Amino acid sequence: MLTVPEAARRVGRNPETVRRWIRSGLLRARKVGTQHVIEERDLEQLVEDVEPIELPGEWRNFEDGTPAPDWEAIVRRSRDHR
Amino acid sequence: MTLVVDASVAIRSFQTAGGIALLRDPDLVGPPLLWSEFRSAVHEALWRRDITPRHATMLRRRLRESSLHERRHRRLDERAWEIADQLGWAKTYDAEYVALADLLECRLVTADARLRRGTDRLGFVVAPDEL
Repeated sequence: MLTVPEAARRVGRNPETVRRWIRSGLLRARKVGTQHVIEERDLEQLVEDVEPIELPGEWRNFEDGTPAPDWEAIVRRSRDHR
Repeated sequence: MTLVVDASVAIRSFQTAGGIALLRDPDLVGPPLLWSEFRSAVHEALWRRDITPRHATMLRRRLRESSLHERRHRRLDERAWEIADQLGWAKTYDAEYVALADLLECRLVTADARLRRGTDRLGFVVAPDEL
């Protein structure tokens, strides 16, 4: 298990970036006391993938609160199957 | 200023009434491909029941009624081909958006991390938070 600063050092990013990943749900973490801890394999999985672009809040959901699908993946998939 | 948007940015910007305002640019344009990709992605999301018919209707209506407009360029095909070659891409879909921005000497905004990263060295393809 890694703390946020340890995870940030591991991937060469700022700890605040790692906290943003956790807040936005990109990186799984659990709380131990007041600290977030991260499984190494979750961190590795995230950095192996292309780091997702952080979207404005208005672009993540519809007006009624329904979460938006992964439009980027849908567009890519449709190109693959043309 | 002109700003080229790709299909996923267009869709996301129409999910809420104020979403398009985040782009802040008065002249939003896309290549003809955008309309085809927008329609197909929304249709697929509905078909997969990721969105409701109401969402699909709203997205299509907002696209129709928006100021986002189609921009053609006589060199678009050729430039897209060249860019796909230069960047080592097998397909030219992304290259069409990149080519339009290149020809118009403006920026392309994308929410697609692969496109953003793959065009890093060009300097004019940006993520929403870089606008």
